[in-house]
Amino acid sequence: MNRTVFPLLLLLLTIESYGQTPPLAPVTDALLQAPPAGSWLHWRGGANAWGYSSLDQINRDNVAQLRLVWSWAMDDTGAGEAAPLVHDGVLFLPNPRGVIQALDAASGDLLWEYRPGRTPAAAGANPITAAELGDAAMSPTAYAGVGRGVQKNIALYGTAVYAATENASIVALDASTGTLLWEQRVADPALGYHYTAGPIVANGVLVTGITGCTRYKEDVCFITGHDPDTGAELWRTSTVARPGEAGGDSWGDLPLQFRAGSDAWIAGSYDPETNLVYWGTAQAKPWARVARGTDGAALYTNSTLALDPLTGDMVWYYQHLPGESHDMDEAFENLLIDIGGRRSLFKIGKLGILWQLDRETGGYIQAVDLGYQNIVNLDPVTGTVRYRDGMLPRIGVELDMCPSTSGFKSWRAMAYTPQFNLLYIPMTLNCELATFGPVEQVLGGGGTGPVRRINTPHPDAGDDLGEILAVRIPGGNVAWRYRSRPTINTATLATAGGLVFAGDWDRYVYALDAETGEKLWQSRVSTSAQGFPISYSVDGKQYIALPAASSGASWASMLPRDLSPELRRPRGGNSLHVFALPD
Amino acid sequence: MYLPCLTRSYRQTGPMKKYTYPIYSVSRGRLLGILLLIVGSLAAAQDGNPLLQGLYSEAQAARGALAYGENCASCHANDLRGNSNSPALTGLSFLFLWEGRDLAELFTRLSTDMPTDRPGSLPTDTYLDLLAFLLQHNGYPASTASLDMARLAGEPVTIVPPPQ
Repeated sequence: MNRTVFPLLLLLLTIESYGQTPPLAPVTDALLQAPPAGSWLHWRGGANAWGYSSLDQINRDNVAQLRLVWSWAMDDTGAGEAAPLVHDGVLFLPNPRGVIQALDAASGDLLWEYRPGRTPAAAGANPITAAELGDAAMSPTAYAGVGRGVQKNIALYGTAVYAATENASIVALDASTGTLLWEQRVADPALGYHYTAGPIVANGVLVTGITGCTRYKEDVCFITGHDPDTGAELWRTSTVARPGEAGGDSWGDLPLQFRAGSDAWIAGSYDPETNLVYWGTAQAKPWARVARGTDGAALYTNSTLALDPLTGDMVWYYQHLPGESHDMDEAFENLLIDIGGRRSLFKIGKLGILWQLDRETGGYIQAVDLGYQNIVNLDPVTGTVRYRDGMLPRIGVELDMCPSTSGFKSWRAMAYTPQFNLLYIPMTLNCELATFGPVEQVLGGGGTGPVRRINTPHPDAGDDLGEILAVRIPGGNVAWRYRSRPTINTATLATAGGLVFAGDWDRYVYALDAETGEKLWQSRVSTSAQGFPISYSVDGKQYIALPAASSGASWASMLPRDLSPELRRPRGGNSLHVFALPD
Repeated sequence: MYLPCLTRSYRQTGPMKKYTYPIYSVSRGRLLGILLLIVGSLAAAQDGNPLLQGLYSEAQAARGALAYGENCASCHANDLRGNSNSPALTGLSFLFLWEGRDLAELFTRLSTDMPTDRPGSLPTDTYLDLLAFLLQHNGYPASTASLDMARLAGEPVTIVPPPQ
């Protein structure tokens, strides 16, 4: 053998044997707009947020043969609501408290791990230090409940991974190594600001919505746009109408510091065709009008906002529940679906009212009350919502309301399949005897307002707390209902194999026939299924990845504790479980 | 005469008296007025309340502060004023939820259901420390003796507003 070639060959073999992976292909705008079938580039799969995979290797005929291929224990330092991404055979996994891992999506091998404050940072990355945070720092060993430390979704763009942190900052990591490229401070965590939603990428801009606006402070919640190369803030749009601005009188004469809420705690969607970012906002705080001190609509709470990603300008807004008064978020995912050539946006809030808006204009098209709530009357012609007699909270007076303040629908995103024109909506069927209390109207005070709470089952649901509701659009007819004693505790995933994947609090993960709701496969994992299931393929083989986690406050923990006490789960167990067909 | 509200815990099924506030939302001045009214009208009944004599030790509360930071603060916030779905554990909110109820009931709630993520997972002494910290933060006086399970199992301690 040639004396020059041999050492080179040896070197190549050595590199190969250390499992070095080639640099990842950059995630371009073109890729984001038309993701390859085997990838999962957005937190809900595609830009349209359908939670849908066009892979069909796993289908109704063979799904019963699904087997565990690999699993991965995640950090047990807090609530896990992971929405993994997959690109080029690499799975990017958000853990609680800012930890992110890159794993070989086929084998489950760890490629790199980012641990805030521990992973080496690039020169000039300027990471936040504990000393800098002072009193606002969470102890590194603290357990992060649902209040702070949740990391739902992350974003991929170019050669970087982007995440939003418990310390109200945004970070960029090298997607091939996990090195911190930059950290951008967005707001002061000492004021309560933090992120639970991660960024999305819209027309070359990182867009992120902040949360933690429960209590009174001198500022309000907002959505920001950032330069993905540097983190520099390009624009900031308040999610609350300020005094003196258009819509500012919708809060009565309350000064800015008493205009709380409108947290943007769930990531939005971006439509390259309309060049608009769609982002939901939470209810006003305190929850009850009587504690808030205004009967006004309180713009732009509980609204869908359409923003220009380059400027942050609010092109339109649609307020679903003006002057909301029971903690009924309309902040959740925005599905972009064209119906008969009409560009529509579908979404559903805690009340279980399914909305269809024109996503170019924000015009109301249709709303369907799915029939479980007892708080409002919906006029389906106009979309106007009015409170039923006696249903507005009064201080200290018990209210028998459905749903509870946890809602029927929460962060567990619905999926859509074009195969059957069905939405798969994860619902928790529950009610509450709620007694709302007052707040202190001082800076630092406020908050949601105390609620004396008695959780109760829903009268229409028997012993069942969980439901996956398959709703045909645009009409809103129910195609089928899958009911279960345990709460449904994941987002749904629809696949072209005619399947819907989900999981429940009682550790079961399963596949349903997307057309009939019949259960075709089931397995059981380490703890409650919790998070956002995804599907992807590597080298022609399709995988289903299902996250599990043992955490989460009222939505995930309190209702099962009170209403299905016979079901038990372990105290830890955050993890990811990946299934495929036998070779 | 103001009567302390007999609230209902979320699993309890007794009768409940209505809690009525004469105002819409509560400003600082009004809050002070309400508290003064409550304190004034209850003064006679409160004289012997062990909460006002001191039921926990400073050392216990200091340990409780550390445990709070580790286990509670991510939801209830560093200053106990709460966050999103986690109620404030101090001030008006605390009294709205707990006034008139037995301290032992608060301990049971704390030690059985909290943290919501891992209910009942902490040592009993840590739950006692946490209760001590909560009382201290709400302005109840400390004592030289520590709060223990025997005291909680003894004569009921009705939660009344803290001294001004």
